[in-house]
Amino acid sequence: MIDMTRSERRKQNIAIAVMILFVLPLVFMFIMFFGMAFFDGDGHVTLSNFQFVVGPMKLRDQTTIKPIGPALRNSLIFTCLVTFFEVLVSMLAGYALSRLRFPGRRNIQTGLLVLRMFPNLLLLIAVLYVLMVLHVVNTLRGVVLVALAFRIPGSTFIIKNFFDGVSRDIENSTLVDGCTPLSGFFQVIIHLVKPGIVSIAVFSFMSAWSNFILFDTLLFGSKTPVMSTYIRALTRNDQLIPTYNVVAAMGIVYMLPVIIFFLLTQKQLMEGNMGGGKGLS
Amino acid sequence: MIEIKGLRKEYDKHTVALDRFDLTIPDGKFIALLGPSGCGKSTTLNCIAGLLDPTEGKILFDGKDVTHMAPKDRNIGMVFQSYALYPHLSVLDNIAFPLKQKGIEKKVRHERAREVAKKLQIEHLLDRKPAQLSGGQQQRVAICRAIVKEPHILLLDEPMSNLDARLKIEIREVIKSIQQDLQVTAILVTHDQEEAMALADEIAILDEGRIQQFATPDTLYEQPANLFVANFMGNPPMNFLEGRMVDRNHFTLGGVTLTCTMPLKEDASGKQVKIGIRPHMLSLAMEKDESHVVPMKMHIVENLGKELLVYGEVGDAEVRVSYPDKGLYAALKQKAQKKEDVYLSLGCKYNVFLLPEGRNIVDFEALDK
Repeated sequence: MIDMTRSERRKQNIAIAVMILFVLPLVFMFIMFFGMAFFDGDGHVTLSNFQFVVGPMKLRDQTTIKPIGPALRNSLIFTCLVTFFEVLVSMLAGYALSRLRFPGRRNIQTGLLVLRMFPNLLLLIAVLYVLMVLHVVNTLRGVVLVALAFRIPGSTFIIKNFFDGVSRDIENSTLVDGCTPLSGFFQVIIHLVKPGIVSIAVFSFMSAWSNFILFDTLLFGSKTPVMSTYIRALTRNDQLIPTYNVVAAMGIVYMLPVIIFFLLTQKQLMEGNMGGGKGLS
Repeated sequence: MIEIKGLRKEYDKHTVALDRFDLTIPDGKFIALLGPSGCGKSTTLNCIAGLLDPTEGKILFDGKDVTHMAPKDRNIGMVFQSYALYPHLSVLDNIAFPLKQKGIEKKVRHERAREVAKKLQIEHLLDRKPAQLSGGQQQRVAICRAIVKEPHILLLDEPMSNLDARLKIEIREVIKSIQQDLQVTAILVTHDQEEAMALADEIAILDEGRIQQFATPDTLYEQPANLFVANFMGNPPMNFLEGRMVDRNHFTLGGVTLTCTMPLKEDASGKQVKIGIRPHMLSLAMEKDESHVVPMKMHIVENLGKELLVYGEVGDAEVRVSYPDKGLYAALKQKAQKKEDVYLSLGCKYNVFLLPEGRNIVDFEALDK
């Protein structure tokens, strides 16, 4: 803990008070909304709103909703694939960009930045054509490809900066100590950029899990439901007033994996964001 | 034996870092590559380590061509300026790391790492992480890691530059004793001449990608091959007095003609020369006499405790004289205030550098006889 002077402590207290003031309404909203998940229409505490988790569920207006199973499974598969390949590809690309000198390196680097800033949604129609050429239109595989393509420039750029922070001496040292460049990379270098890897993994996971627009536009029909489109389909219902409790329950189910993943990686994530090059010297 | 033949290294096809670089290092010798920054000394070391690919030339270890061999196959140990420890591993695992790469089993390699750590007195630190160590301790760990696999060659890339003065001397002793212990061929890169003089059997002075002189510290100090070496070695630096050879054995200096007492390799009659002379080799007198004939305009005089350091001017050249007789301090100070002249004698040991190329034309072989 850093020692603070009295005036610093006072300022800190003010800052905390202001933050609480801003956060309270949000907390209130969340509690109100998710609280609904545990009440039925008559105001009794119940878990029946979560019935969609285990099987088909009949709503009061006699519409039936399908169990969440397939959507959950598809979402998990999608998220894991995207996270895994995004981390893998951007890590290797970032390392190459940081360390190797090859023609076109500068252009690729600028390209990454430009691509990262480009509004991806503008590309959706063109992407559809590309997917048709590749014969992966309307499949989960296709969406995985698109999601990866959209995310990799940004992640590569982030992780490249982490690799830039690793001193050459350490790398040379692994080579002299008997490593090949590859084994040195996996035994040493990767540990030095762990905060970077964690941060791109977290952001990748969260963005993939909450992705909606790609599924909504690139997957037609409800052949391959995922969490976001599953919930969307439910709220599209015209008589949704009595089903708010169910939507809230779904929201909780939808949110849980992200919260768990975040809690697991939080420590390293903060290290990466604040320390940056901590322990790299 | 390490042989470097005609090494040349270009960066980006334009800048030449090394050119026509030849060096032969016998087994068990401690060699220093000394020079200002950007002179190519680190490039040389990296080429020997295999971390850089030379543009031209050959490197041989014991007659075997290793020019394009990967670093891991060269059996070298290397110590870096930034220590380059692996922060995620404990000190023990850091030291054992090179053995792990050889596939030596955990128990054996930890055993060997412990032995080496004991030699460098860091066995009580083995469980810590590098970040919990001081700079000197980190460098000890790095030295342990470099020698644990009993390398054929030990490469030291400015290992003491990041340490404070006291630790520098401490690590210097460690390196010297380790090298003598293991009888390993060692190559030290440094820009600190004191470090090089203290450690190395022989020093190669580098400038602009070329070896200027490769000799023992004594020779470099007493018999510099050219102006660059003379200028680089020694603290306070050598004095350079501009003069002109009148004939084979005489030169003029500050308006006085003197007999050249040093044997010269060639007749440089009529050519411009620089007389290089160490501050402690100059002798000084308050009044002109038979031997003290070169007038020097006094600037200031410093009392260093064990001696006096007198600053003055001969012609256009700034001159420093160290003078052991402190009794003259007051008198010299007075002279300095009045900006009066004192008189110098060149003594019996000086160098004659032929301008413009700056080659030393004193024939030291004839002198030794």
